[in-house]
Amino acid sequence: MRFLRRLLRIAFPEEFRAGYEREMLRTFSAQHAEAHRGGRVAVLKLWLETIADVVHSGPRQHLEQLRHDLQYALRAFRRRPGFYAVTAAVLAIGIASTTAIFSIVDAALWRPVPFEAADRLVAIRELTPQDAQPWELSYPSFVDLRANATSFESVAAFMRNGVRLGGREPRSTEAALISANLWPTLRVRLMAGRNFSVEEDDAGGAPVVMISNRLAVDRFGAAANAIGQAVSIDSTASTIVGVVADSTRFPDADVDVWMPLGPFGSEPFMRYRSVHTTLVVARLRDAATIDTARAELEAWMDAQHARDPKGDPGHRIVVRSLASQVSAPSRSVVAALLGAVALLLAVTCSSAGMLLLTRGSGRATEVAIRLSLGASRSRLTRQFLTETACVALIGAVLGIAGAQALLAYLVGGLQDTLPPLVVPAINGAALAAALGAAAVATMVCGVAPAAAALSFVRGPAPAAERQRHRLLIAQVAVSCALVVLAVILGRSLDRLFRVDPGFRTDRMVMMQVALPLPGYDGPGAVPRFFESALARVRALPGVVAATAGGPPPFTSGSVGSVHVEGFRDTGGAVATYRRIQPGYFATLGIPVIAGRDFNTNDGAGEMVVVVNQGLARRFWTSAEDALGKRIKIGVAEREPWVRIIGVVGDVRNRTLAEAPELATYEPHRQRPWNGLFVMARTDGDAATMAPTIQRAIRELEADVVISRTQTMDARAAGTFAARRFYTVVVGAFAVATALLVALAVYGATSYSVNSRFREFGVRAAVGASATALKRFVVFEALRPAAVGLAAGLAGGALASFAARGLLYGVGPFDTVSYVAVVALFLALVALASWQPATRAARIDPTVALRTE
Amino acid sequence: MAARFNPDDHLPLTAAMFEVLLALADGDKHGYAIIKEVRARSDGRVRLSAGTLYGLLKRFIDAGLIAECDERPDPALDDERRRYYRLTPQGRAVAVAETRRMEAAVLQARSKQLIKKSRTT
Repeated sequence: MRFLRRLLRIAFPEEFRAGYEREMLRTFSAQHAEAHRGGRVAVLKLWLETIADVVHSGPRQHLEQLRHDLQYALRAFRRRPGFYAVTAAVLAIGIASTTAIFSIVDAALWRPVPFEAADRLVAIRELTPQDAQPWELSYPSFVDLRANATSFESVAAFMRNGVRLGGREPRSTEAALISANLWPTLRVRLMAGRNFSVEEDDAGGAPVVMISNRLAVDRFGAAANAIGQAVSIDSTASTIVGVVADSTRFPDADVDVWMPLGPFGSEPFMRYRSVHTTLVVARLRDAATIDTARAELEAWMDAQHARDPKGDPGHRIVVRSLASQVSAPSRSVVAALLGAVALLLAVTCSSAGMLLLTRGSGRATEVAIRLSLGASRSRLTRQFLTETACVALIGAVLGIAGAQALLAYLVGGLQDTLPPLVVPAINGAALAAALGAAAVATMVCGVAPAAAALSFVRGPAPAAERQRHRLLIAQVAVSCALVVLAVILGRSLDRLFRVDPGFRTDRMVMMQVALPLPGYDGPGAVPRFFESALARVRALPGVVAATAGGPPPFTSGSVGSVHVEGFRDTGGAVATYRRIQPGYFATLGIPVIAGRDFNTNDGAGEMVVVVNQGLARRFWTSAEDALGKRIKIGVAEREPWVRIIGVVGDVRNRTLAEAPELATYEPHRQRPWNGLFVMARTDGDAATMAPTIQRAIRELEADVVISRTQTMDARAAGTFAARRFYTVVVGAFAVATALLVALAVYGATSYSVNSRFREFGVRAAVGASATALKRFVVFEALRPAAVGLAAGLAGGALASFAARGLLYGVGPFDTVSYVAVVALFLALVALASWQPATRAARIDPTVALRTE
Repeated sequence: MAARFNPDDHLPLTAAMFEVLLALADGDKHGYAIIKEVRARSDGRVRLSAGTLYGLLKRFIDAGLIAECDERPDPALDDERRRYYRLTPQGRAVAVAETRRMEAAVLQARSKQLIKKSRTT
C-alpha cells in the first residue's frame, strides 16, 4: 500500500490527490481484498492493472489542470487586455534586444574565427622598433618558416591586392594572393572546384584563380558553371579552378578573387627581407602551444640576425591566436553592448515584475476567496506561474520576431566595426539565450506576484514594500546611467556634425577612375587623359567645377617624413601627399592663402609642391615665408627636392574628429599615378549627375575602370558612421529603459495607492486637500527615484568616462548633460505617478472608510 | 451569467464515462461499488481502475454531472468512511442523450441491414 501511495504522489498533481488519494487507496484495498480471495495470480493482475492505470491517468490529470489554468489565464487576459499587452510588450523588447545582441556577441566575441578548431590557428607577425603595431613578415621569411618551423601542421600566407577584372563590365575588385595551403590550413572547404596546386603556387605557375560565389553567380549563373572558365585578371586570361563560399569572408568580406601567392612572391622586390607584406597564419601541431611555437620562432629569428646582422635589427616575432588578432579592435565595443543589453534585460524583468506585482495587489480579494475555498498555496502559485508563462511566451514569440529585425539593423550599422570574418545570424545559441531570458522573466515575474498576493493576504508586508523600492531604485539607476551616456554621445555627435572639414562637401560627387596600363605608358599620357576627361566633365550642363586627385578626401592616404632644406632636424614631422589636377583647391573650396594653385604647365619644369597652412606654420613664421622654400617627402636619399609655390588652408582629411595633418600636394603631371578620383561640384543633386559624368569619361576611353562612386556628403557621413551607430544604439537602449522605468514607476505607485485605499480615505477625511494628496503620492514616488538618480548619474559618469574615446568636443563630465538628465527623470517620474496620484486624490472618504 | 445547460455539449462519451454514469443511474454508489457494477454488468469486459475512475469522477463533478452526496443510500450497506456519488439531473440528461445517440446509431445500422432486428422488444 505504501508503494501505491508513493506512486500516486509521483503521478498525480497535488490538487487531485488532496481530493481523491484516500478514496483511491480505500477502493484499491477493497479490490485487493477481493483479489486475494482469487489467489496470487489475481493479486498480481490487479497490481499490474493498477500500476498501468496510474501511469496512464496521472499525466492526464496534470494536463487537465494545465487546461484549467490556461482557461483561467485566458479569462484574466480578457478582463485586463491592456495590462497584459503592455507586460508582453515589455518582455518582447527585452527578449528582442537580448537575442539580437547575443547573436552579435556570440559571433564577434566568442567565435570571431569561424573555422574548424580555430583555437589552434595563430597569426605570426614581427614587432619592430619603429611601430607599436606588429608588421607583416617578408615573403622570404614566410618561405623559410613554411619549410622549417616544426611547431605547426602548416604555415600559410596571404596578401591583399586590388586587381582589374576584365569582361562585360571591367572594374577594379578586391583580391587576395594566397599560398596553396591557405584553405587546408584554415580547414575551409570550397563550394566547387579545387585548391591551387604547389606548382601553380610557384614562379611560372599557370595563371589560375578562385572566385567568390557571388562573382561566379554574376558571371556564370552558378558556382559549378564557373569551373574551367577563363576570366581576365589585370589583362591576363586566368582559369577558374575553385569557387569560394560567400560566408568564407577571408581575408575580408569584399574579396572576390583569390590568386596564388607564389608567382607574385617571386617578383624581384619581394625577395627582400625588408619588404614586410606577407600575412602569415599557421595551424599548431597537437603537441605545440602558442608559447612553444613562439620559443621556436624566436630562436629562428635570432639565427637569422646572426646570419645577417644588418637586416631588421631589433625585430621580434609575435605569435598570437588568430581570434585575438581578428576581434581585438571591437572586443570592447561588443562587451559594452553586452553590458547594456544585460542591464536592459534586468530592467525588463523588473519592470514586468513590477507590473505583475501591481496586478497582484488588485487580486488580493480573489486570492483570499480562493484560499478560503480550499485552493492550496502551491495551486495558486502554479496558476500565477501559468499566467505569467503565457505572457512570457507571447513576449518570446514577439521578441524573436523583433530580434530578426533588430539584428539586421545592428549588423547593417556595425559592418565596419565587426570582425571581418563574422556574419552574425540568429542562431541556436541566440535562441536559447532568448528562451533563457523568457524563462528568467517568467520565474521572476511569476513568483513575485504570487508571493506578493499571498503575503498581502497574510497582512501588510513592509519587507515586500522595501524590496519594491529597492527594485525601483536599481531600475532608475540603470536607466539614468544609459540616458546620461546617450545624451553625452548625442551631444558629441552633434558637435561633430558642426565641424568644418576645411572644404565644402555639399553637391559634390566623386568616383575612382583607373586607366588600363597598355596604351597609356608614354610620358604624359595619363595626365593628358585626365585633363581631357576633366574638360569634358566641366562642359557638362549641371557641373559647376571639376577636378581630380588622389588619395580622396577622408582617407588617411599616403604619408611620408618631411625634410626641409636648411633644417637638420624636423622633429619627426610626417605629412600626407596627394597628387592633383589643376583646379583641385577651387573645386573643393580650399582657400589658397599664399602663392598660387597649379596650372597645366606645372610639373614639366622644376618640381613644385603646394603645402597646407599647418606645414608652413610648423617651419616658418608665415605662409608667405614658406613660398620658394624646398622640401622632400619620403625617403630623403631617394626623393628629389620640390619647391613650395603655394600655401592652402588646412583640411580634415582623415575623419572629422581628427585634427588636420600636415599636408602636401603635387601636380599630377609631375609624377602621374594611373588612377585618380574625379570630383565634380554640381548645381543640383550630385548623386543624379554621376551617371552622366561616367558616360562622358567612358566616351573618351571605353576600357576605363570607374568605381567607388559616392557623394562627398556620404563620404563625410561614413567617417562618423560608427559613432552615429553607437549613439543610436545607446539612444535606443536609453529610450527603452526610460519607458520601462516610467511603466515601473506607474506600476509601483498604482500598487501603493491601491493597497492604501483606506489610508488615503482617512487622510481625506481628516482634511487633506486633493492637491495635498496628489503632492504626497508624487513625492513618495520621487523619493526612491532621487536615490536611483544619484546612483545612475555616478554610473553614467563611469560609462561616459569609459566611452571617452568616442567623444568629440564634449567631456565625459559635461554638466549640461547631467542637469538635463536630472530634469528629464524628475519630469518622467512625476508624470508616471500623476495618474495614480489623481486616483488617490479622488478617493471618497465615506466609501474608503466603509471598505474593509 | 451561466450559459444554458446543453447535454449534447458533453457527447459523445467514452465507454468508461457512459458506464460510470449508468452505474449511478439507479442509486448513489461509492467508488468500489461503481467498479464492481461496471465489471459485473459488462461481464468483465470493462475493467475500471482507481486512477481512471477517480479522474472521471472529478471531471464529472467539475462539470456538474454528478455530486458527492451527504445521505447514505442504504444504512445496512453503509461504510461511513467512503464517499458516495449521485447522478445530478444534468448528469442524467447527459446519460439519456448518450443513450439516444447510441440508439439512433443502432437504428441507422439496422436500416442499412448491418445488423438484424432483435427478436425481442
